[in-house]
This record gives sequence, structure tokens and C-alpha cells, in this order.
Amino acid sequence: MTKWYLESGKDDDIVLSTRIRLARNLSSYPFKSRISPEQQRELCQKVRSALEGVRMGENKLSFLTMENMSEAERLSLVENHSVSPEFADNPKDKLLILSQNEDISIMVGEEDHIRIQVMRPGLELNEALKTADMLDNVLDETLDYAFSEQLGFLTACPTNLGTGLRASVMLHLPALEQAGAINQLANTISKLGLTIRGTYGEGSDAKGAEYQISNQITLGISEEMAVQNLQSVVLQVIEQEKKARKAVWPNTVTLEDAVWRSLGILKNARIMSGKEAVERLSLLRLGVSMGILKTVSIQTLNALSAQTGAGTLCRDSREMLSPEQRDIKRAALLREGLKDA
Amino acid sequence: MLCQKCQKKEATTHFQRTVNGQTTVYHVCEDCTKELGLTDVFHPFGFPMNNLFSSLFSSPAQTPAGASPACPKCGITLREIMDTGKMGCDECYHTFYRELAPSIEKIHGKAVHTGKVPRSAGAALQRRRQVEQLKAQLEEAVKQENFEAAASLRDQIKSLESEAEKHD
Repeated sequence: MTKWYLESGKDDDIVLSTRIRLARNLSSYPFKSRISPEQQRELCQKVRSALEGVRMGENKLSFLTMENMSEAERLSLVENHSVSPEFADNPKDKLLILSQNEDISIMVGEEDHIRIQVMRPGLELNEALKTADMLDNVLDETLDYAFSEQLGFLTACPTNLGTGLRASVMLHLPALEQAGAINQLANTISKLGLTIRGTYGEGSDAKGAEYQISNQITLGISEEMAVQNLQSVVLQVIEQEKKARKAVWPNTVTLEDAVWRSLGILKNARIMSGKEAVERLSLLRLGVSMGILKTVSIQTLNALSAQTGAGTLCRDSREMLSPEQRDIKRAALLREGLKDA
Repeated sequence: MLCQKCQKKEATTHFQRTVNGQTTVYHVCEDCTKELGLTDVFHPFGFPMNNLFSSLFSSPAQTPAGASPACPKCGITLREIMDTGKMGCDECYHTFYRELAPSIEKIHGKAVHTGKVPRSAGAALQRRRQVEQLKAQLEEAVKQENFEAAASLRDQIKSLESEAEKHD
């Protein structure tokens, strides 16, 4: 079954992915900081039983014990945004429920008891919310959610109180970055209750001009409203990025040169660091989006990005590779993936 | 690029550090990365990134000295919550509401939940609404001196209220 990030989505030349996350806790157990290992195992069992009967068609759910996975497998899950770094780093008594195409991941034992996460390619906030809502309803049938009429769903951290919903859209914004407009954008959108940050969430850097915009306020705003707000801001940012591309590269030859050079290097290099790969693939993505590169698809670039992360490289070769070995393997994968471009 | 530290091997790890708004980029090789303690792939910078929230709480100096009050359900103290920014259980929000309210307001504004309601709370809400309606009917029945109806309404209210207590 095709992984979600290899499917095409709306505006997917600029929107890399959409994510919906719901934070939920049970009233019958203490939160993460006070839960005993025994209670944690009980919690995993309860969530497991609640979801075992859910019918997902072909996209069926797997129940994975994090402790049984290798470090490379766990890191690969982080790279593909299925789990948080924190969750992968402390696998003891943690349960991951992952759908066949990896678009649904439910973490049991993250900062909150349950974190329901739905990923979609392109800008598909409403579709992702619908799926998350359905799974939430299934869990609500048998579990006793911690909830207060005033504060909504009660979460370990007060930043998630209310809906417990974090809706995020990952955007490729090379022109706005080049124009130095990201800080200004951050200022503007923070006034709208949204926030912009680097690739792996809070405190991380932007890699390959990838930025994530998400809602910050979760109390006093309904799920639908929060998603609608985000959607309208994202659509405006996409327009701004398109305008900036014309302003930043008025002379198309400069951009064409950068894109074709990147392709040349990716098609020929024998050693490729993770950092360089991300930057070169970012330029190819820009090239495809601007109509410069017609022999490469966005899906190919998504596949190559997913396959060339350090954890995924180790997972797929079933050994812990050294950085040098990884760089050689990465270069080979990129050459193979782009040989017809 | 050569490692900035040993100047011998190829740099494979790249990280940047921002101090007082000044960002410096470092390039180091595998061996020096290990030596610097930067090998943890999950925390490449050697410090947790999510401790920023605790600074939002009023400083511990503002809380009365001596024993910090504890949550009766999970036992966590107010001091611990302030240090970590994380609650110990759902009851903490009730126990420490007065202390938490200013921080919650700082994050979300003066807001009340308007989103989805879970099944359990939905049933409780429904029950409460029903009791309110029955009480209004009871008042009306007493006014009209329809004591038979009033007695039946009173029984219904009682049973709904005891049911609510069982669930709460």
C-alpha cells in the first residue's frame, strides 16, 4: 500500500504535508509525570482493546511495541513525522498504533496519555480532522476522557487545554526565506493565534526552507474554526511565496542554473551529506514547482526525502551505518532515483 | 569541509548555537562529535527543548515559603508543577485552579471551551439540562398546587441527581 507521503495532494508543490494532532488523557490514571510503569502498561492495553475492532478497510492498524524496535527504526519514524523525538527516545512501555500507509499514528504514553495524529499530503486539513475525529469517537466509546466543561480536554501541559488540537501545515518557502521575510511573517501570524517554526517542531531549525505553521490557541475556539483559520492563513502564505518567487528571481536564468546544477550534483555525487541532500532536493522541488524541471515529479522528491534520512538509511540496510557509510549510501540512492531526470 | 576542532577529518555534524541573538555554526567530525557529547541523535544539542513553558508560570518566589501544597489525587506539589510546567493528573486543574488561572489566561486569553465534548461529559451535560427543566416544571406545578405532579417531578430530579453523583 502506498505510503501517505507518496500520494499527491492539493497544492503539494508548496505544501509538503498536513498534520492534525489531538491530545487526550484518561481520568482514571495520573498523567505522564506520575503514572507508574504498571499503570502505563494497563493504559496501553486499554487503548489497544478500544481500537482493535475499528474497521479501516485496507489501511489497517498495527499495534507496535516501541521497545521491540531498533534505534534505526525508531529514528526513521521520527524522520517521517510518525512519532515525536521524545517518544522514540524513551521507548519503555510505549505503544504506537500505526496504519498501513502510515497516515495515522497514535502514540500511547507521549506527553499525554494518547496522541492521535493524522498526516496527509498537500493541504488537506479538513480530511485529516475528519479521520482524527472518527478515531477520537471510537476511543471515547470505551475510555473515560479527562474533561472539564470550562477547560475542555485536560492535558498535561496547559498549552493544549480545550480542544487538544494542533493543526499544522508544512510549507516549502524558499523565496520568502531568501527575501528575509520569515521573521515578519512570524510576527504577523502570531497575532492571529498561529505560530511558524522549523522542520521538527519547537526549537528546531528550518531545513531546506521547510516551515511549519500551526495553531497556538486551543481554548475557546472550536476544532472547525481553528482549522479554518489556519487554512485561510496558509492559502495567503502560498500566494505570498508565489509572488516572492517572481520578485526574488526576476532573471530566470539564475534560478534555472541553481536548479540544474543541483540536479547535476545529485545525479553524479558519490558522497552526499544529509544536509546537502535536503538543500539540493529543496532546489529541485522549487524547480519542479516553477516548471523548470519537467522530468521529475513531486512524488519522486518526497520519496527520496523519505528514503535518505539517517535513520531510514540505517533501517533499510539493517545495520547502524557510520556517517561516511550513510553519505555513500545516500548518494547512491539519489543517483538511482534521479537517473531518468 | 574539515572538522573545525581537530582539523583532520571531514566534518559530518553541523550544528548552530544562538547566544544573545548571535548565531554561530559549527562543523565537526564524527570523533569530535562523540567527544563533545553530541552523539545523541534524538537530542543533538544535549539539552531538552521543551522546558520553555515553565517560565510562563509565576515564579516560585511568589508562592508562600514552606511546604508546597499537594494534589490529593496524584500527590504532585504545586512547586513540581511550576518547575516542570506539567500537571500530575486531571484533578490538578481543580486543586490548583487559582494558581494556574493567570498562566492559562496568558496562553489562551479569558476563554471557555467551545469545542468537542466527549460522550461522558455530554451525558452529564444532558442530565444537568434535564434537571434544570424539571426544576422549572416543579416550580410551575407547586404554583398551580398540583402536588401529585410535583411529587413525581421531585422523584425524577432526585434520581437524576443521584445518577449524576455516581458518575462524577
